[in-house]
Amino acid sequence: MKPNQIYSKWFVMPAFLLFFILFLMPSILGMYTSFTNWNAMSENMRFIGLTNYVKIFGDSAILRVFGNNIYYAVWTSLLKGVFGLLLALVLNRALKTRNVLRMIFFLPMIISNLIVGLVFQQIFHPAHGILNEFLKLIGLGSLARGWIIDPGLVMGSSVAIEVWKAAGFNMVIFLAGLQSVPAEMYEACDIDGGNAWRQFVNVTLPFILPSIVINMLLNIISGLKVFDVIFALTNGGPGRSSEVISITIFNEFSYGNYGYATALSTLLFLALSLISISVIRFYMRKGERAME
Amino acid sequence: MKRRARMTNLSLEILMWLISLLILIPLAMILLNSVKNVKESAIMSLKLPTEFHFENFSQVLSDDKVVRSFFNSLLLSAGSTVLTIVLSGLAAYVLSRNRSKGNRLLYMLFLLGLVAPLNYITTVKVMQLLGIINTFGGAILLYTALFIPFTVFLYYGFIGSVPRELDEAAMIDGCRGLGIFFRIIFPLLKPVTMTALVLNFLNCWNDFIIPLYFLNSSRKWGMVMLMYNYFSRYVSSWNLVSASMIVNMVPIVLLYIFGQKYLISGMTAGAVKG
Amino acid sequence: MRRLSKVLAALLLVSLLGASAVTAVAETAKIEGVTLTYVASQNWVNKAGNVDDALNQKFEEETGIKIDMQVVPDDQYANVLKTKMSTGEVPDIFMVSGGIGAEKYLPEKYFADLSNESWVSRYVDYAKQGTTIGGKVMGLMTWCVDGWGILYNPAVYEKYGLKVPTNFDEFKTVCQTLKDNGITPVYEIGKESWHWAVWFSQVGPFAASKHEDLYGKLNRNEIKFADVPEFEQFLKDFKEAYDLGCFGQDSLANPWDAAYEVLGTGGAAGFLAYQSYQHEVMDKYPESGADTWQMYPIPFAGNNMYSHSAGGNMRVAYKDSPNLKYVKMFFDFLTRPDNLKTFYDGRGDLQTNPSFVDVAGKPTSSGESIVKNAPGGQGMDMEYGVKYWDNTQVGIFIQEMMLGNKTPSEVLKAIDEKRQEMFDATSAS
Repeated sequence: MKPNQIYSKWFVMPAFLLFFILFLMPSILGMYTSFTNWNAMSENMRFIGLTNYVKIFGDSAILRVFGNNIYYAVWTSLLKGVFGLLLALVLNRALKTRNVLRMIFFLPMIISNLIVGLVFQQIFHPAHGILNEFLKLIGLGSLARGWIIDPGLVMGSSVAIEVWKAAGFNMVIFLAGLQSVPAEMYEACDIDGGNAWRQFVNVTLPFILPSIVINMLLNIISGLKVFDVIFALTNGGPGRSSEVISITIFNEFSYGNYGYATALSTLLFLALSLISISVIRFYMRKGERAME
Repeated sequence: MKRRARMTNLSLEILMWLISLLILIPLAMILLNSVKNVKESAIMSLKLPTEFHFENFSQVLSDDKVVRSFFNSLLLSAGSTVLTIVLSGLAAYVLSRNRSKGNRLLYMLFLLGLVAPLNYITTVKVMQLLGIINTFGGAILLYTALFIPFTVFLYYGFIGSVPRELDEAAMIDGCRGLGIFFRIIFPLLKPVTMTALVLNFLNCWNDFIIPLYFLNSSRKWGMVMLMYNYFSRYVSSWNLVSASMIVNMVPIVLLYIFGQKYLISGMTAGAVKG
Repeated sequence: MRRLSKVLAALLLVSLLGASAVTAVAETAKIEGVTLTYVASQNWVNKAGNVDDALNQKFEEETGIKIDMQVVPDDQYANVLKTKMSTGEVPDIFMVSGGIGAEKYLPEKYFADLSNESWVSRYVDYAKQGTTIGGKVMGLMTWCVDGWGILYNPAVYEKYGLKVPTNFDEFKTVCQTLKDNGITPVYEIGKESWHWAVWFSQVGPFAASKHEDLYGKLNRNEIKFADVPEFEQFLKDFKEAYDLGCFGQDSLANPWDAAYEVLGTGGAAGFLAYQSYQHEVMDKYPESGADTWQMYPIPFAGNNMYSHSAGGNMRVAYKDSPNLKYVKMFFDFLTRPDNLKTFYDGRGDLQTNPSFVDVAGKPTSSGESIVKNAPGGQGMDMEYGVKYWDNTQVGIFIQEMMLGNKTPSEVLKAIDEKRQEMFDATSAS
């Protein structure tokens, strides 16, 4: 039987049409306003070609902002992935309180970003925040810092908070991946005399490769697109030291520069599309070779 | 279990509980904040409240909008989550099994949905054209459209680990496309389904942006919006905000526990046999 | 698997039943079947109480017309409202800021002309001016004209032999003395970028007194911020004060809510506030004696004027709403003297200078003292008088200045560049 008859395109169409009509198509169509002078003061738009884009590339402040995004995306992806994997590996073992622990590590994902921002503003406060108080308590008072007001530290603090919040997400996906590793494989490896590391590399790793790709790609995308967590924590401040592209876009919309903001948003979209498609195509080709 | 393995597990367990303090402490701050009076709650800390104000919870729960908004959130979240899982699972199954050129292109387009920005104005216009703006049905469809890319992506990654031989065996037994998927493949993807279920439900439950732009009546808004009644730039009742946040979190926690118990527990290693 | 789908189906059913049951009950209680949509920012309604909700409910009980008040998180408010306007989903009633801030919502196109409503004659002067756009009264303002000044504790000043500073040098001396005694001179909530901009906004009237038609020229793009020496001097003084520690340690980390405690417990002796703020402190910290506190204008760059808003916020009726006559009924209801009184009683932040003659103002000692301490007179601050002024935007530039990333003149240059962008975008369109 031909593959196209069993794996019929009709099965894909409902999902695709819904997604395309209500989301992708309006999103892409809306990008035309980036070529206009659309702003808050008038509902007429004048075509201005690439003017907005030229302005973006000529603005050195935006380069610095994008630098924040890259720093944030790289660090959060690595740390979330590593911690998420470690958590999943440990919590996949037969621990008594395993389910409770899994719940606890997933909880930060459930809390609204507004509250996360508030709580950590307090924790990181230079004078009365519990982090600095704790450091002073254990005699490491010299390490006390202005975690979210020192421009040099504020992005690092944001990374820490994102890892706190979303390592649990990575963990959940890794756990799902680990479920697909058959027990027999572990036993076989034991019989062959494998130690924990060998077991991990030879048995576990191949099975969780899909989870790794999923997590890494999603981590990078969310790192480059981040808005809520940083906005709630610092609003992009102090000044613009923790500003990320999504905050710039939001601010420009608030000021009324709609066409310019759409141009920024379109550029971000293009950058992210390039990254995700390259990663997936690379993985797909590798996967195809490995599959058969 | 070997004794050494048991010792390792025990020490790991203790280590995990120590690390979990990193999570429990901020959570404790929120919990404490929810039972303080307005003045004390202005600064979140680990200080114990001078009196415990459990009536903050009854105040939040007695808001006449609570019941309606709970059901609104439930309708939107359950509806969109179920629809998303069914549509995405099926789509990802076909795209993964049959990697024709056309299907690869479709998959790439789905991936664009992971990074595309939602354009409020054009989407409202499309929904106006379709006559579904400001309706629950429209909102459910919109949420589904937004969750499909991630869910397709998730399923696509995991369907590869379900061997094709199962498909062939089912076909020999006389199953066709939909049957193969729902009777054979889908049950084997329970961990993925549970993950997608919890994550999508969570995103929908905590979302307040879509109702703002696409549901023009506050009678259709969800529970998370109630939080915004309690604070403003100048005057805030953070204790009530914390309390309403905790109330908002309870259903998700319950869902997660339910998912763990009924979906995962049957799936200890050995799921994919033969 | 089947169990899962059964449970999910049950959930769906329950929620559908729940939602329809509640709707069914509401259906039978309605009399006229009219609902007015009313969109407002969370910062503007139901502050420290439910008076807006209560009045909406009372109106519904009297007339059967329902008010669906949609409270939008503040940072989304402008975007939501503009999107609704662009897509034809304009609410029947919405709120905008008085003065220049209303312009971005395109009054000519969307605001109903309320000039002939019966309550207009009972407006206090500032309210009539603040709601008049293009010669027509376009809003219902039940707000309070207010201004920002340095709220201070006279008892502390007296203790250290300090007098109200009338210029920058005196201000520095006051700060030094307070600092030497372990008190933060003027607590700054530096995390809120808009608050830094509010400081700068207050020097507008003083600069305008030195340059004829300054606001008009700024709004016609005939003069730039960089051309006004008072602006640069103000920012220079502002930065110097910051470097001297007048605003406390780590001011950039302090959020709005932290100020009440520091002021209420005597940790600071001053704060840039509006006139009713001292009562908010008093409510939370009765022993602070905050209701005796007074206010003086910011003594930078020679400023000696009391600067105030254009009246605050107002409700607007959508010009083409099918329910316009019901909206007008609602406005009539809100402006009934008894309802006005209820409203102002429930809004402690708006009691000093109500917008209608029917309600007596309750001046605070800050309000009275700042006028006394402002020999230069009064005027409208820049937030309400200057086109394309955005508190967040200007505030971020000033934060950068405090961090040392921008000089005062670079801040002015940045403001001018941003305004020029808006002038460019709106020219010939």
